[in-house]
Amino acid sequence: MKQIKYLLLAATAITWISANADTQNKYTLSKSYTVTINGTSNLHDWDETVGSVSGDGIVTWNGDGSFDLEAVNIKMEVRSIKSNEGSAMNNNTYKALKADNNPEIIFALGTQLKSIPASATGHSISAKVNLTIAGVTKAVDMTVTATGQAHGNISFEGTKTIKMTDFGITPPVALFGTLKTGDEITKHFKTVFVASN
Amino acid sequence: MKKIASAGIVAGITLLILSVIGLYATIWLFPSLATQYFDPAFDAQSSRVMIYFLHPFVISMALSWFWNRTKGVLTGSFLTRGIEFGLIYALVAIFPMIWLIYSAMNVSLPMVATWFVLGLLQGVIAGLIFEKMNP
Repeated sequence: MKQIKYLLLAATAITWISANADTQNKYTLSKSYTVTINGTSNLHDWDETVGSVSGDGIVTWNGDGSFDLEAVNIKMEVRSIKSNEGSAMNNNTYKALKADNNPEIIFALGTQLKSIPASATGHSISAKVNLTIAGVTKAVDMTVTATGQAHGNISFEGTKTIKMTDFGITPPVALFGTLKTGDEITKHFKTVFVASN
Repeated sequence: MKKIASAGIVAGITLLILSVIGLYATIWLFPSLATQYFDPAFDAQSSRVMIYFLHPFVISMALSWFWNRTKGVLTGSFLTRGIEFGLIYALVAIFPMIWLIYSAMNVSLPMVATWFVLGLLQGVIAGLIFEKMNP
């Protein structure tokens, strides 16, 4: 009888420990981010920097030190995008991205990612992301490098090349059509998420 | 009348070529100035852009009529008459217009300066063509 009691106690303890080993945490994007947009034109290449980015995520830490990425949402303010070419290019960007009606570029994780090793040197993950630009949402595949320590900060870094026309954006032209921007733009981001609970 | 029209058409074709060369020359010679044309104030995606490529003919026809009325007071050689005609056009029509645009619109001085030079060149080239075709 005593043996059965001990067995029941042990089973209860194992169940309790395993239930509490996976902890879900809310994360928020820290201020130390870098988001850049690079493009081309028949004049020269151009660069833009996104000044205002916010985001949050839900991470579940597993007992083995890995984590599941349940959700990630990142919002970038269109009117905070600044070009190295000055205000003319800025205004053109806001117009092309239809900033009045669509003030944010939204990045949302499309599917949950399971058992990502918390590697200090970085671990490459393939993610499906719903990217909303100028009011058009497209599912895109991205390769992202996740770096982090167990139960600590997690950083994501990645680069994605997209076509403006895929999002209903007409590549800007100037000087009566003689100055043209290329359809492809490359977004590079480096973000750090910190636990908020 | 026929001379005015034919000289106007020839000048129009010549100025159209000059205008297109001028657009590409702006990109090659003044890249930072060319970038300013990305400002939404210059709507290069509008269907009205095509009107730009008709402007050489509008200018040429008007200048051809003006040449016909004033050619009697312009004296000297082929070059003197053509250049003087271009200068008159630039000073009477282009310069005051550029002055007004610069005072009222958010455009840079280098930008309006290139517009003045383009207008002056258009006037001189048109004047030289008129001098040959309708002396």
